[in-house]
Amino acid sequence: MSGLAIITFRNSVPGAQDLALSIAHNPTIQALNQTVWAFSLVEISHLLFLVMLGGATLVLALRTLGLALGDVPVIEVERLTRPWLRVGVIGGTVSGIFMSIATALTLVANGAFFIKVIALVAAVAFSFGLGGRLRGGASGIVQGALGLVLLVWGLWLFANTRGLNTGSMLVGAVSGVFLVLVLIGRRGEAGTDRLSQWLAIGTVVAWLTVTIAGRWIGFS
Amino acid sequence: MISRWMAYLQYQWGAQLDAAGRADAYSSWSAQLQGSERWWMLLEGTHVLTLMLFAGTILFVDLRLLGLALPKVSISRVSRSLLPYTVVGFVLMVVTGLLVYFSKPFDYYHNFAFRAKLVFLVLAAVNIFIFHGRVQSNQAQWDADPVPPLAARRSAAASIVLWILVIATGRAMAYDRFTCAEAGPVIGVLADCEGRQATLDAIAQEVSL
Repeated sequence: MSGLAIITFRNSVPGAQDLALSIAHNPTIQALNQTVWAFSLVEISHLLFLVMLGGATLVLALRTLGLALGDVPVIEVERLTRPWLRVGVIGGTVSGIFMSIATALTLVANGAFFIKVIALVAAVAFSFGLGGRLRGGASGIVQGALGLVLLVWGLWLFANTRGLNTGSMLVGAVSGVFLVLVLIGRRGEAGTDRLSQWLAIGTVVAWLTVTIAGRWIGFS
Repeated sequence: MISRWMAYLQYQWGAQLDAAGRADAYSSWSAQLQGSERWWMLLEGTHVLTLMLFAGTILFVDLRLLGLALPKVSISRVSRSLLPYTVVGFVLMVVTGLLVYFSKPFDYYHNFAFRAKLVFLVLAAVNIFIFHGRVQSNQAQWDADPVPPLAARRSAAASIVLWILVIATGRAMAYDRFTCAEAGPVIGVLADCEGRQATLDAIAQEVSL
């Protein structure tokens, strides 16, 4: 348990509380929030989009690191996973916004939600940086640097925010297992460069953080 | 009988007895697991993560079987490469799922969404057995085909639909309207809420709730 205060949108972004209040008092939003079946449907679809983007991220990362589909050109795996990643990110974000609007007042004061949003931007930066680099259209350096800074910040907050550090333990444990797998794997035979491999590791750790921080919103 | 056994697991197994010889339900091992905030959060969080590992990787194997992914790569190569991750994910998902279930076995047993989830899990298992037992018997003939035969595609489509239903009903277990607390007449019958009440009445003398 840390002595640090919880960092939330309410206490770090000016006007966030007023915005959340106006959203919460909006009659349409209130009606939406009370339409139980619609809210449930969105919650379930949010989970399904998560599985979709998680699978796409993992398959591309495993291929980039030489841990799966070794004899398939990495560009083909990138082409295969790209639409699933994009649909997962867009669907997950849209359903997430729907859920956030419905519970704006709670989330604006929730530390795990703040961490999830930071990690989400990091994860998107890593994923699109990796995809662009593998396709040859971008270096991925800017996205990688942005992703790294945000991910480190998000993980630091996760580990140091009151009541959330169990979540950061889970991120650490699963990331540790993944890194061991990478170290004993056949990166040399992956046919990808070192930066792409670091970006692949970044995508996995960042999406892990997004998922776990998302689950911890409910716990905190 | 199953209801009674689940009630024993939730309220009595490992529970301390009070002065009147009744089991203190809040001290049972099941209650302790649910009350152990940190372990409970780790279990639940891991269960959600393994879902991504398991369902996320099986999705791409199923897409190949549907002829919608990697048409130039043989099905056996895709399966050999991705299925180990799927299997690890499945094992972890089952282990964490059983432990999560153990935290409230009686409540989950009388939860309609949980019952539906079990049905879809069994159907998913039957689909796997049919695939390995029948569909795969002549795989050598179509292993490299960009679009596998109809039976294989049917099996892959069933797999995707069933796992979506397993995930959806798993999420729905958290909604009160599928539990006996808020169940309507139909859900009440499907979740056997009368049986639940009968069990609670039967153990009233043995358990301090």
